[in-house]
Amino acid sequence: MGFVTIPSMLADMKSGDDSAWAYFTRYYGPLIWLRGNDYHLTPSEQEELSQDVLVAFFKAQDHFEYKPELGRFRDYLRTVIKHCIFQILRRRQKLSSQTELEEGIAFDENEEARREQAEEEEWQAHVYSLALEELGRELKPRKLQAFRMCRLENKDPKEVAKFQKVSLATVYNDCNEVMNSLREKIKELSEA
Amino acid sequence: MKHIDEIELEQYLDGNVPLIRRGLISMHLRKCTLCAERLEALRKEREELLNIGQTMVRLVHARETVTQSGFYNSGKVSSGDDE
Repeated sequence: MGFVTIPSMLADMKSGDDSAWAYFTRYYGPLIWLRGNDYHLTPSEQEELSQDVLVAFFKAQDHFEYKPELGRFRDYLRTVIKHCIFQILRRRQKLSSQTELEEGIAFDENEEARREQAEEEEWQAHVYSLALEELGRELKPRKLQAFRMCRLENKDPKEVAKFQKVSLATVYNDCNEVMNSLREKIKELSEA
Repeated sequence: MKHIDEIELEQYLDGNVPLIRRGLISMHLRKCTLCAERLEALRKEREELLNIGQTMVRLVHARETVTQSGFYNSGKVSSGDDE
């Protein structure tokens, strides 16, 4: 399945399209898992979390309408995930109220700031992954490989040229072409 | 001297420009604010990409864990109301 915009994914999920749900779980599942991991959920709680988030989306689909002008999808998703995590922790800790728990968790401001920073970086990496995956359908694999090796893995372009058996100029041209396409794609994805 | 193209700025950042050309570029960068700013932007973009690359490793690991765990393979989502 190719790139799907958030509004169309949500609309398809709403209409019960299984592939839209599969898309959601494929691309957002890892982000959900990482959030759970941040709160040190056990494997069984992680499973609970993944199901709870899906159920929350499933229940919300009838009345939820995506309006980008009112807020970003990622913020909505974050709220849903956090809510589900708090419920799991509440069950675990047998705390009496959501408010007490939220205050308890938010108490460590440094930890909360670190989580937010990680969340921001993971979302960015998620968008870049989507963009690169999409570019994989448009550009030669060699070009993407050169880009990944040089720009994402910090390999020396000379070594990459040797590895790919191409000239150094080709590696630079390939990286530049991928970077230009990537900038465009990121812009599209950010606006989608 | 004309403005320096992006590919050559990348090569300059990596030290992959012949010595004489490198000297000319350095001189140009001292005079041309536009090219100096573009070079700085490329440097920042590279740093950002390296961070993204490292985070992607975490994301790939999470994706593998989620796939292997089969969290989402247990069938259709139900609202849980009938439980």
